[in-house]
Amino acid sequence: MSAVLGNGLRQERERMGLTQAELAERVGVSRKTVNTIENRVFMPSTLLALKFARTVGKPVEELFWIEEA
Amino acid sequence: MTENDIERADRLTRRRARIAMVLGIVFIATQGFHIADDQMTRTVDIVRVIAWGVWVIVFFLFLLYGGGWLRGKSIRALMNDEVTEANRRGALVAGFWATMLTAFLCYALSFYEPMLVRETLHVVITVGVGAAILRFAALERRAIGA
Repeated sequence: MSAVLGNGLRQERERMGLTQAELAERVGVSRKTVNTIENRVFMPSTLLALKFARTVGKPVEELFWIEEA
Repeated sequence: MTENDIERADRLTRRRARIAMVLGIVFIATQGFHIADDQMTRTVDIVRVIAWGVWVIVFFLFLLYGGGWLRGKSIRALMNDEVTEANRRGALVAGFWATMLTAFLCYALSFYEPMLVRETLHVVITVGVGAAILRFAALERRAIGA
């Protein structure tokens, strides 16, 4: 059984009223990174996941989770 | 790092993806079918081979390091972030498979048609590097939502 990394980044970003570019600036990454994570095209490293979690003020396991495919 | 940096990196990343796609197509179209003079006696052939070698080296360095050498440190970091690093790795894997497949086809073809080593290597390297550049462009375009 394969698993994929789910995330609630788009919901958290919209809750904070931020655009992808604004969230990217706060985390210190490109807008492309935000876009690909939100669309589940790219699986971020642990370091990057922790940076996103810290920026949105949530524990990393609430922002990212395992989804059984 | 400012929002201006983010927007600038975004714009440059889009431009890089477009340029990589165009250069990859032009590279394969112009070099892939180039058959060098066996003796390399004509100046035009020597110049053409040198130009091809420069293209290959530039593409290879670009795939390994991501380019953006003339940009500032923060812009370069944004342009070569985790996503682009993953795309570069994916492109190198695609280039490896294209190289292997082309080499295998040339090997099989050599049983029916005599092939010069130089010609064969020219085709194998061109297809391998060209495929890697095109794959990188496609992955980057998908990442930026182009």
